[in-house]
Parts: sequence; C-alpha cells; structure tokens
Amino acid sequence: MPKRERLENRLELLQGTLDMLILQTLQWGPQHGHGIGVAIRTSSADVLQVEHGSLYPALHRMERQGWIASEWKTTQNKQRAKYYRLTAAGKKQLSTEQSRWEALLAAIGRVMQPAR
Amino acid sequence: MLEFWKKKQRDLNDEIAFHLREEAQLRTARGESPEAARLGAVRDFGNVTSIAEATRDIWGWGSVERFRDDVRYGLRLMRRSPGFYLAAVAALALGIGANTAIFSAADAVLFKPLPFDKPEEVVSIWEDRSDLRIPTNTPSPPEWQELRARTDIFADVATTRGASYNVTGEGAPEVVMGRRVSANFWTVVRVKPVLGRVFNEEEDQKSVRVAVISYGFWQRRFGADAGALGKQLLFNNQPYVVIGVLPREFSFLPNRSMDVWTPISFTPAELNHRGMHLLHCIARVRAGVSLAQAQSAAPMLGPPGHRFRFRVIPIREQLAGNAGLVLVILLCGAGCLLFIACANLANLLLARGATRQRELALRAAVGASRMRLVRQLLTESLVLSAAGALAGIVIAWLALPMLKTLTPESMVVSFVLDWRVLLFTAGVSLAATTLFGTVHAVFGGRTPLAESLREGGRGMAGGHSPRVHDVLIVAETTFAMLLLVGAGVIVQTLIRLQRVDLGLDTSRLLTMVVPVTGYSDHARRDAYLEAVLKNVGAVPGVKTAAWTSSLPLTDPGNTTSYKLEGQSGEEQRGQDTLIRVVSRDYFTALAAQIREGRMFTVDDRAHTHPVAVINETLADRHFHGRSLVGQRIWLDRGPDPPYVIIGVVQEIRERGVRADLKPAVYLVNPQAQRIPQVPNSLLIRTAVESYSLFPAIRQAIWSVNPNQAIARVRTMDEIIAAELTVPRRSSAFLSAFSALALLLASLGIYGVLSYAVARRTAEIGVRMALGASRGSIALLVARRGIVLTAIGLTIGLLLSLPAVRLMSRLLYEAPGMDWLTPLASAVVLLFVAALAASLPARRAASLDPAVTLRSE
Repeated sequence: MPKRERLENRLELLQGTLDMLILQTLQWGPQHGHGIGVAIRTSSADVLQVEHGSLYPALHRMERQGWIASEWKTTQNKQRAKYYRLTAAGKKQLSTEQSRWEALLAAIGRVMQPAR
Repeated sequence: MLEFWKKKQRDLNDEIAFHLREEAQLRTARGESPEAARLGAVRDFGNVTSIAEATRDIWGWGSVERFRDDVRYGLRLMRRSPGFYLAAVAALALGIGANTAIFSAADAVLFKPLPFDKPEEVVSIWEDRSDLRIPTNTPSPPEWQELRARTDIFADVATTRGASYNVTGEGAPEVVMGRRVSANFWTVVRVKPVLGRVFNEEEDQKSVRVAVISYGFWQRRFGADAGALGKQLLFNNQPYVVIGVLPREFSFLPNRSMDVWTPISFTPAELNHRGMHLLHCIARVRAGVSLAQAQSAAPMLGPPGHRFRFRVIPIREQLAGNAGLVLVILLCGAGCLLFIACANLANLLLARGATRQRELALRAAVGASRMRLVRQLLTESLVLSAAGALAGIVIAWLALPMLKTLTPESMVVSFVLDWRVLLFTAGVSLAATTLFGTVHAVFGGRTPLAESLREGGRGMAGGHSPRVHDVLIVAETTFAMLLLVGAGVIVQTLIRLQRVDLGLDTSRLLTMVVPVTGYSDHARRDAYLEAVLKNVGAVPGVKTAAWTSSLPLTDPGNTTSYKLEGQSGEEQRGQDTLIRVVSRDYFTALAAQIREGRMFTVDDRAHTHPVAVINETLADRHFHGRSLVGQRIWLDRGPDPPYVIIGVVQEIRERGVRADLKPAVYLVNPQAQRIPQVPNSLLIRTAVESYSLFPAIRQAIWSVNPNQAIARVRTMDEIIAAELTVPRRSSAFLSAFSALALLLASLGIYGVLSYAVARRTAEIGVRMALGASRGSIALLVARRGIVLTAIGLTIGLLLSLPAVRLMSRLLYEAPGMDWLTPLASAVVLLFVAALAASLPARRAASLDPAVTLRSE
C-alpha cells in the first residue's frame, strides 16, 4: 500500500529548516501566518517559495512545543488575525538551530571544496 | 470539552481564511484580477483540506476524529445487514448474560463472606452414624460435653436446639421460630449484638429467662425502639426479658429465620441423657488446626460403652447445602454456552471478513495504511462487543431473580451482579470478536490488490482456509451435545424425584404448626389434644385429623437410641431411630399402608400396655427370620418400660423427598409421657380443597382455646413442591441452556453452509452444467453439515461419560448414564443440524447454472 505523502515544499526543505526560518522571521516581532510567509519569500529574494499551506502545521506544532505563542489581534484593516511571537524557549531553540545549520553548511562546504 | 474542540477548529478555519484573503489582496495590489487573485491565493496555499487535517493532527485529536468516524461507519454497516449483526449480538449477549448471572449467584452462595468472624474456622459437628446410613446425626448433651472437652481440636464447642415459641404479651400473639443455645454460642460465632448484650454462662446454668432477639423481630414488634431492652414478653406463657438485639445480617440455619435466642439451660438429667439426640453443635476449631486435622484427630469419643464417631463439616458447606453444587454444574453449562457463542461469533466474523476483502482492497488502493484498516475493523468489533455486552447486562439483570430461588434462604446476602464476572466474560467476548474480526486485515496480504478488485474476482478466498469453519462447527456441536446430555440427566433426576413413593397420599392434606404450651401435666395436655381433634373433626369437609410431633417430609432430626428384645448391650450401642409421637388416627390421616400387624386404636390409652408402630426400614433391618410384631423395644436407654411392637407401617418419607430412609418408631400420644418429643403439628385430610376449610378449622381450634397460636399453614403438596424447587429450577435452567445451545449451533451450521454455497456458486453452476442432478448438489452441501455434526456429537458423547458419572456421584439421586438420554440428545442434535443444513442445500439446488456461469 502506498505510503502517506508528507507535505513537501518546492525545495524540499527539512522540517527543522522551516522551523528555523519561521523563528528567525519572528525575531523581528510578532507576525501572523501570512505575514511570515511573505517575509520569508521577500527576505530570500523569492528563492524560497515556501508553500504557504505548509506553514500552518509547522506553526501549530511549534506552538505546542512552546517555542512560539499566539494571540488573536485586530489588524489595521479591522480584521481578526492570529499573531505569533517568539518565546524565551523559542529564542534558545533558534540559536541551537542556527549553530546546527552552520555546522551543516561547513560540512557541505568541506565536501564540495576539499581543503586547500 | 467538545466546545473547546469546536472553537479550535473554527479558529483554524478563520486563520486560513484570513491568510487567503490577505494573499488575494496582495495579488490584486500587484495587478491581478480579483478572480485570478483569489484562485491564485488558493493554489499557492496548497491543499486546504489536507493541510487543515494535518494541522488538526498536530493537536493530537486526529485519532479521536478517526475513531468517531469508524464508529459511525460501523453503525451504518450494522444497519445495512441487520440479520448478521443481530445474530452476532445475540450470541454475545447470551454468552455474557448467562455467565454473569450464574457466576454472580454462585459467588454469593459460595464465596461471599458469612456473617460471622473468620467463618473458615467455624464447623458443624455431627455424630457419624454411617453404619445406620445417618452420616450426620444430631448429637446428645453428653456428647456435646465430650466434644467440648477436646480443647486440643476445638477452641470451643457450642450447641443449639430448635424451639418454637408462642409469643404473647406486648403486641399481637404470634408464633416464632427460635433457637435455644449454650452461652458460648456467642463467642464461637463471634457476633456482637447491635443493642444490649447476650446472655452468659451463669444465666444459662441458672436457667434465667432472658432472650436475645433478631433484628427483624425487633423491628416488627418494637418498631426498632431502643426501649425494647428490659421489656418482658411471654414465651409459651413463661416470662422472658429481652436483653439484646442481633445485627441485621446475622442469620443461622437454612430455611428458618430465627427470631428469638434463649439459653439452652440443660437440666442435670438432660446433661446425662445419651438418648436425647437433637442438638446441633457448632464449633470453632483451635487456631492452627486444619479441618482435616480436626476430622482425623480423634475418631472415637466417649467413655467405653458409649463410643461415637464424629464428623466435622465447615459451616459454609453446611449452609449452602446442595445448592452450591447445583450452581457449579450450572456454571459449567454456562461455560459451554459461552464457548458455543464465541465459536458462532468466530464463524460469522470470519465469513464476513472474507466477503469484505474487496472493500478493504479498495480502501487500501485509495490510500489507507494497513494500520488504518486494522484500526477500523477493530473499532467495528468494539461497537459489536459493546452492543453485545449491553444486551448481556440486560439479560443478566433479568436472570438474577430467577437464580435466587435456587439457593437456601440462609444466604441473606443479596444477589448483586458481579462486575468482575461481567468484565471477564465481556473481555472474553471482546477478545473473540476482535481476533476474528480483524484477522483479515492483519493477514490479508496474500491476495494482491488488483485481483481483489477485479469484478467477480475470487477475492473472497483471502485470509483463512475453510477448514477453520469445520473445526469450529465440530467444537460447537460437541459442546451442544454435552449440554444436551447434562440437561437430560438432570431432567431424569427430576422425574425420578417426582415419582418417589412418599408413603402417603399427599392430596388435600393440610398441615399447620400448633404449639401446645402451658400444660405441664401430661394427662391434661392429652385431653386438650383430644378436644382439638374432636372439634376439628366435626368441621364439615374434614375427613380425618391427627397430631404429630413432626410433620412428614420436614424434620431433619429427632432421633433416639433403641434396643430390641434379645439384643445385647453390644448390639444396642449406636442404634438410633427416628421417633415420632402421634395421635391415634395418624396413619389413617396420611393414608399410609400398614404392612403387618395393626395401627393404634382407641384402646391404646395412657394406662394400657405401651405399644409402638415401627416402619419397614427398622423391621427389615432386624428381621432375622422372625417378624418383629409382638417383640418389645426399649427406647433411649432410660429406665422406662419397653413398648410392644404392634405393627409395621410402609415407609413414610419422614425426612424429605430426597433423604435416605431411616428407621422410625411411632408412639401414640397418651402413652408417650416420658418422651421429650411432643405433638405440635396438625395434619388434616379434607374432602374438598384444603384452604377453603381453614377458617372453619381455625375457629374449631379457637373454640377450645381462643389463644392458641397457629402457624405455618401449608398443604403437603406445597411442602413437597418447595423441596423440589431446586431440582426443578436447575433442570429448567439446563434445559434452557441446551435449547439455546441448539439454536446457536444450528445458526452456526446454517451460516457456514450458506457462506460456502455463496462462495461456490460458480463451481455449483459448472457441476450442474456437466450433468449433476439437483438432488446430488443438495446432498453435497448438506452432507458437510451433517458429517461435522456427527463428529462433534461423537466427541461430545465421549466427553459426557465421565461428566455424567461425576454428576451422579455428587448430586442426589442422579441416575448414571442410561441409553435413553444420549440417544435422544443425538437424535435431536442431528435433526436440528439437518434442518439447518437443508435451507442452504435447497438454495444450492435451486441455482440456475445459466445465471451463475454468466455472472462470471
């Protein structure tokens, strides 16, 4: 029987990487889901075309894990939206992910360009 | 909880909707048309539904949702094929319900705590007169004292005797049953009164007239008023002071609720009276002494010349009597039924599972994982089990009151549905349901998906071999046969009991207990008895009236020792007989048959030659070529002169329908001055329906003494019916089990054969096209069912042989295995099986080969 399909982004980002991007974005302040998606796209100069839908399971999961917290607020257009913000634990997680990412980058770099 | 969940879902929907709106706005700002912007936003988002579902999954509610969906699906399935599910639920309900009810009853009788402290240490002690076929004879006062002296075995031995009291004084006169007990009874039994105190050794020895009353009596008579203590009541015209009230749960002997407890207060003469066998001894074994040790410790007690053997019976066994055994047998019956029900369930579910292969394959093709399918089937099994368990509880609830009638009234404990049993049987059923319901999903990987999905594919072959069904049917029929044979044996026992020759004519015989008190002078009492007889006899419709010291078919004891003419002291030792003091017309009233000699006549009076009538058992026992009529018999070792035996009466069942035959001696009242037994019951043979004459009879008695208490008015037929209640009900139950087993087994056979026919329609079509006749097709189908039944039948028969032997050893007059019962059972089973097999056979025979072959 065919395996259940996992949600995939266009660039097949690892789950941890998506988390890291979201946490980084929220460093700039609380934002709602749509805003986070747009921010990731624009910051990456449209390279990272994150499928917006995949954000939401990630956001809810991270909220359960306690890295972000949510709050319903009204936007300027008088609409109701759910805003997410970073928690203290989230900040710690972000630095952990960052260091892991840098280590990964360094390893890949060493493979691609053998030490001179 | 539900509200919270719904709110979360709404919030998520709002969040996603907001996102889509924002994105659409962004796109319109960039220049797209509103329509394109909206579509673009949605496309960009991804699959909204699956994302929403994935998010909800994150919350951990996914499994609950799926469970709810599965349950809904299961219920829908049930609605669509009600027949199948009804059969399954019925099988479950019967298995669970019957088992729970019976086990609850058995538990109450066998295992629940008795109302005294550490009941496993408490025993009844009887005199073992197996040589006279009285294994439990009531001891006499000297024997009690000897037992009491055995402090190496018993911590203490108490003794009791029955009493019935005519209670007058404050309140309406009534007749109550009571016990006279030794003062140490309270310490042996370790019961504390809820009010007041119990009497002590000193009061017992000094014959102080105090009484401890039961809770019920206290409520009835004194309205549960604490001021009852110290009040005086007249018991048989003697003043007694109430000193204590016993707890509500306390009860003692079976079949009587004792209201009053007084000191036994033996006189010095009684204490040495070795012939006075009417005590019930109850003892607590010494700490550290096991029952086996107590029994084997000292087989013989007593001084030389008066040796006796005693027998120790644990109190629980004593109180439960035969009922415990009957319940165990019923429990086995219920166990058989549970097994058959589970086997049926297995058959149904396996067959069903095989037909659902296509559906499962489809689901798998659309994306369900194996776990998912198994979970779904599991849920359906749960729904089925829940329905079955619910129905089972209802059945158990209804059956429990019926079972209560099986047990002696001693067990004051109420019957409550035992939840442990319910859980056990429900657990067994759930396990069976789950196992057979999901086996196809778990092991269904054998047939590839494509083949299962193909039109008319043999996808139904998946999962299990048809042999499994065969094995199950054989198992079912085996147990059905066991049940049938067991029921047959019990029914035969009942019939036999009902045909027992009781030695008397039981129709239109009215009995009543009429305690005669207040007459210390024998002659005066005699005159009173005569007067009552005369008055009662004068009532129109009364044919004969008579007195007796204990009614036939009722009393368990009242024996005395005896010695016949020419017997040495050696031979006399240990000879005991039942003794009854009756009025002249006793045998006439009973319509008992005199075998030899004569009955009492008017001429047998107080100062004429003392005479006695003996029964057949006694006569046969000592018949050494010479008839006993004319010989003399001494009673109870006392100095009293002997009685001359004037006649032999055909055996009257004095002790009950089922009890053994015992020797008995009948004395006529005017001549029985020195005998402790006194007439206290009236027997009245009426020409018309007995109860209709009762008011007139009562009036006749009261015209002699307006204060005469009259109690326990019953007809002899009622007494017998009461005694036969247990065998009657148990045979009814076992027959019901057998009928149910037959039904279930036949349903099983029918189901399996129908399923086989449905699977093999193509094959049958081919056979018919090739020339097989309809008859041979029908035979082909039916033969399988009959053969399987025959196999099961044989195995069941073989298994039943040792079972029946065990039953006949443990129960009353259960006959051994005869040829009628198994033959009848086999015939019935085969007939039912044939019937069940005939329907699918007929259906197979009526198949049109053209149709079946075409639908390939």
